Amino acid sequence: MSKSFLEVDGLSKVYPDGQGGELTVFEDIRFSLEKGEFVCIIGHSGCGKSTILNVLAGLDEATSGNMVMNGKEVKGPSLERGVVFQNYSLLPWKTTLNNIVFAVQARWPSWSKQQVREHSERYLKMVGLDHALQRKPSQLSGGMRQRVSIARAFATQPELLLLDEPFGALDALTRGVIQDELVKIWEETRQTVFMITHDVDEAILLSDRIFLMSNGPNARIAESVKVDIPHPRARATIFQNTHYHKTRDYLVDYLINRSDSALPDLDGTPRVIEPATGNNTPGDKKTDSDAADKAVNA
Amino acid sequence: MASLNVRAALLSISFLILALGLWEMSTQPPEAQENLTEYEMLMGGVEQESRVPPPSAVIKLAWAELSDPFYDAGANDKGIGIQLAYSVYRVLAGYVAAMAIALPLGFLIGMSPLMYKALNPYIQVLRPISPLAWMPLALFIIQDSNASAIFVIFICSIWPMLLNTAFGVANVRQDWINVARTHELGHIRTALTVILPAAAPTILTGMRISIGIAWLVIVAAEMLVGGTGIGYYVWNEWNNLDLTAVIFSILMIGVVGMILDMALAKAQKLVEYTE
Repeated sequence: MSKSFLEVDGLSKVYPDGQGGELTVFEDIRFSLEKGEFVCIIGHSGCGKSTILNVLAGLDEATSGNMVMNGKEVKGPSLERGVVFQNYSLLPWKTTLNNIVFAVQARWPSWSKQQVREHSERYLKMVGLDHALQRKPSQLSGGMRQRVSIARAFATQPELLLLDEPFGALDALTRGVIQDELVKIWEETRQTVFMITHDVDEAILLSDRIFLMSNGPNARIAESVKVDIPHPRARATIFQNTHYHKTRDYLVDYLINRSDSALPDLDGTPRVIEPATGNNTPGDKKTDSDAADKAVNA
Repeated sequence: MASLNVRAALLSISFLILALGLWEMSTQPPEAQENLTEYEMLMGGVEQESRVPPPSAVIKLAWAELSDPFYDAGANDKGIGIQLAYSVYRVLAGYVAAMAIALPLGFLIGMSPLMYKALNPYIQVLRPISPLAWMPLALFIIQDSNASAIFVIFICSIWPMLLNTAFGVANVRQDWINVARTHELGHIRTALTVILPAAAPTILTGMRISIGIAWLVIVAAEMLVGGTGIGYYVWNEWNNLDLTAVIFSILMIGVVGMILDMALAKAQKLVEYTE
């Protein structure tokens, strides 16, 4: 079996519950990502999405399980895994430009000042902020700050980009505009992206696959939904695609009716769902028994 | 209508004139009575009661002193500029020494909860000690009055800097630390490029409090150690019963203290940021 770009195997996180016992937030998380894929993860709050992302970023540690990226075990934070935080996390004493320069210098310490600056400005231009180079983050709106944060992450060209609900704090209009920009940058760079979101439409617009988590505690990644809509996509036209509605209905139904009881396949990997082609009956016993048969035969 | 600043300035000046006027009037010697007693005539009509000098005398002295602030006519007759320069020199020497200890130590305490817990009891005991209480010990150990004064400044300015640095460093937002971690910055670079600028406003607040305390303490310290400095000058003029010079030097202490504070306020502005 050929190894994927990123393999996550049996990840779990256990916290003390404050009453002497233990609380398993999520357990046996298994999935893989391919190079160049855009994957969103959706789940109700409390299922540990952010913790999974922080573990991938190396900012938090899992209780058990391991992750392998490019054949190397993931341990601690690294420039190979860039993060966009929900609260932007820009350094407020630095200008817009210097926030990017800071990251680019860390990534390529041997680059000349000129090279660093040109590279940084290019990415700020991508998010339409080349007019605000010398402004401090406090002089920018929330949307502009998140653009800087996105530019910073893309500018360091990490192998894997982790976005933690990047648009969660933005109003709907701004959110739409920046989603379009993210689509544009991604089409240009084809970065591998793993993103947390609460927004079903956002997930469909951006991702190749959508992971659906079951509710915590003991949350799992139950399903992996393929989004069969060709790139490049645009917010204005995507809803004309018939696959869009099938996918959307499927996701909404999952989040409302099934997220409490959903389970992955018996081998622990998420069930693969393709709403567009009609393979959207994970609740029926066929897949279950198929997997069970396989397990018995094996 | 003039701007707020202009109106405030006008009001300020009128208060000054009013205050100086009242002061001037209240310090006039009483009119000589028509019939002096025999005793008074023997004394040449001289007043028995000594009076606070009027502002006109203070201004006259200030003019004379400030037009030649650096003359040096022997141990007990130096210009006000020289005396102030001695005091400022002692304050800065003690202050810089305190910075050299307080900033690195504050960083250590701020970054390590273990060091914080281990050192906090000592800091809490040493901090409330009046800096002048150290003076006898300093004089005995150092055996040099000038260095002892500098030591007293050192010991009084170290605490606000130390505590504010530790507090500022300990409370840097985790988000910014995470930014440093995801960009693989080493400990030193994280400290210099993320923690230091993030904590700088808090550190500068501590430094500003320290310079204020140091300037308060130097006057008292110099009254004790003598020789030179503005504190000695005040006490010396008191011994000379030259109240005019005492009042003048009190004002100069205020002016220099204000300048020191303004310098630190400027520095504070430079490192400030809004989130």
